[in-house]
Amino acid sequence: MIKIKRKPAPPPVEQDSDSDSSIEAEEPQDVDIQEGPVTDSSDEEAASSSKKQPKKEESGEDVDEDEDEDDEEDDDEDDDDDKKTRIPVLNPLSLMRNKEQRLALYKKMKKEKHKKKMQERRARRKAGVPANPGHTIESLREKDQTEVANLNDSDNEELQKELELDDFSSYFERSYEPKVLITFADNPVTKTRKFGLELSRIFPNALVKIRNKSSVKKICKSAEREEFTDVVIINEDRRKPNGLLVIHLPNGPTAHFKLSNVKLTSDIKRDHKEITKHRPEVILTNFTTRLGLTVGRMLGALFHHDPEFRGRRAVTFHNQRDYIFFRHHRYEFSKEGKRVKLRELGPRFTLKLRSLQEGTFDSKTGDYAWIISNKRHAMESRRRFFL
Amino acid sequence: MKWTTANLKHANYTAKHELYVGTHTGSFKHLVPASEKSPHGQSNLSDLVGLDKDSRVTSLAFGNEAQTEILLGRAKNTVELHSFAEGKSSRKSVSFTAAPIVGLARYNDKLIAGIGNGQIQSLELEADEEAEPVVITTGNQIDHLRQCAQVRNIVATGGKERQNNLKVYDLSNDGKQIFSSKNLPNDYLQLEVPVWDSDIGFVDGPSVLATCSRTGYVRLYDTRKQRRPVACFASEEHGMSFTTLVARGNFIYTGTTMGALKAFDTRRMKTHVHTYKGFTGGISDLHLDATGRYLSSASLDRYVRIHDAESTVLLYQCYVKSKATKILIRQLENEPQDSEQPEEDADLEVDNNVMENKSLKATPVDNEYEDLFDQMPTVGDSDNESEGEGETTTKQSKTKLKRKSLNQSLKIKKKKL
Repeated sequence: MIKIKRKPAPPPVEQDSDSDSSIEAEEPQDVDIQEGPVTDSSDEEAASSSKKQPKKEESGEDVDEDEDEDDEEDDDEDDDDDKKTRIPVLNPLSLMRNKEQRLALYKKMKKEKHKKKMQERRARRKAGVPANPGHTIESLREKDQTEVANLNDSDNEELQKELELDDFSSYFERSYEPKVLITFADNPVTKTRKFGLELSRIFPNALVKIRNKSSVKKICKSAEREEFTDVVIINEDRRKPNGLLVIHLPNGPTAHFKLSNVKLTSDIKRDHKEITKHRPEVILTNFTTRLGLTVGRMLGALFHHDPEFRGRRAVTFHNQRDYIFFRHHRYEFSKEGKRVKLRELGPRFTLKLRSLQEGTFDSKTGDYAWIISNKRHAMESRRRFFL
Repeated sequence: MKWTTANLKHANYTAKHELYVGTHTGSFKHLVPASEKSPHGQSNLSDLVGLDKDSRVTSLAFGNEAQTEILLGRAKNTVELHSFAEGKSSRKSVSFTAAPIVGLARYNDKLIAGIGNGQIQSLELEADEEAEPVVITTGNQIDHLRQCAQVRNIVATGGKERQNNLKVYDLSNDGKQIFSSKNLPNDYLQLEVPVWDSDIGFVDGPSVLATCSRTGYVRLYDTRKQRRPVACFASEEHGMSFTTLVARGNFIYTGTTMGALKAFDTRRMKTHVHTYKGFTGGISDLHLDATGRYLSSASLDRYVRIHDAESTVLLYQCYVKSKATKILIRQLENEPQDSEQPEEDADLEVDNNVMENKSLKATPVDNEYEDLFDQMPTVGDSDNESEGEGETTTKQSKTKLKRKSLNQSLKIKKKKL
């Protein structure tokens, strides 16, 4: 609507762009001018802060390349910008109707920008300032109150006490050797069964059993009787494994994971004969929050405490943005011992925590320590992670 | 408000409260949300070093009406008495013969504990060390024992299975059972409706009780009327599993294992009336402050929260480091003006309270109305006065005029009302 109103009166717009070019000559970074005559009349100094904001908005559109500089500048101004109301900005060039002139001006503008960027970069390099690494979703992550930075902090006394007392404390005191029962949903397809078998090669001291239409509560009971310490149940849907239930015995907790991207050893063109019987090393990375710590401990407690380094097997649970990536490698150090070669052995899969429940499996009446299943949209955000 | 994990305090939250929190690890914390400097600071009232796997806090209750004494029960058989009278705090420990302790009450000099194995044990506090507790057997399991805040000799218990249903005991009468609930009639398949009274609440007085269940019902009992519930909410289709309950006035607040906190209106139990947001873990305990406006909740996601009970706004949220299992909210002591009023209110029955509120709401209008009449000159006086008739007539006419205008204004007021 605004455009239509403006279009019948091109002469003032032309003036606008003229005045722009004059400003450009002085300060090329302030090319974008706010729409309307108000900013035209205002002084540069007064408008400078408000001009930076439109720049930020437009940076996504036409100045993609120089984002690092933009980010630097915007970071300083961010606080001021948020308070001011955002006015939609039109590039005055877009109101020109002569295409040739418009293109020429646009190119000129672009060139100036590039030039400035290069100058800044040169200056920065001369000064020896390291390049701006830019933002990632991780670096912009919302701070979590429950984050566990350093376990040995003095204010983490209570946390240490809790870790001494929780359900996995006896594992970390090495009072037992984990023994894992792996089972499936009823009537598993071949892929799921193979996946279960491959998991049994990963966890030392694991037993794969067909479920035989038994209920999870009964399985837990009989597994406890047979002195298993953990039960892993693989669920499947549409002939693909899609869920993993990990139950720690005897007193829980129970974690339910979504399972995706399952690649079996044969899918990544490896042979299961490559996998030795040695106990693997377990690498748990990036579990930062209190919930993450619990989940990490839970996954770690499926493996034997003492890896057999002779086997050079490493099993990784890497948490990135709440997705836990599982990889299984064999490593080899080069002769000098400086570099390491990796060979992936498979399987590989991705886990995502759905719920963590106190006690052994009791989905109806059990107490959930963490579940957001029915309010995901209220809780989730692109920059908030729970693990 | 947007959900966040950060410690929060709403700008409108100005009430002076302090919180006592019992946790899964066994620590017993004191938080003062009212303090300006550190609304999220927390101090441990028990030492962390001596905790073991059975020191989980399983019950927490005020020991007296002034709320200066706190009874704390653990998953083992010891009970701690913390008293905070006159600024100094003292501790005392009492042992029962069984564990875990799921509810605590104090009546005169006796300490009453509900034990998980279905017993109610009572001990004389001032007696010798080796005194055997008096045992009342209620069934073979108890989930909760609660004491009536108004009539302190009444306690109620509830648990899983039919034989452990809601029962009310009178402690002044040798622990005589004065009420035992009766289950709903069998369903359309002639099957028994499962009973699991996971928590009990007294609704303003000893005779009306509310229970909630992990099998998904909320029931309201009136002990004067019948043994079966007088109102019932059942959520088979929603699959809600209620863990804890607190009731006041016409409202019952219940929390579920999945982290939903709902308020029910006892007059119409078909659906819930409020939902309180912000939970990522199951709710383990609820407690209302003395005015009934602030609803504090302990959750297994390691946060304690305070919601406004009417507007459902999240007023306060604090990370307490370990899973909070029990919570108590209390008016801060050192503000006498603030603390006195709600305590008086608490002494009154809340039915009266509601009435008072209503009258309070009505008072401003009434005052105006009465002012109108005060301003009016009385007709009879002017008649009796032995003055010139002309004057009186003019006066009368004036008064008539006034009255007319007043009537009009009144009408307008009525319309407004």
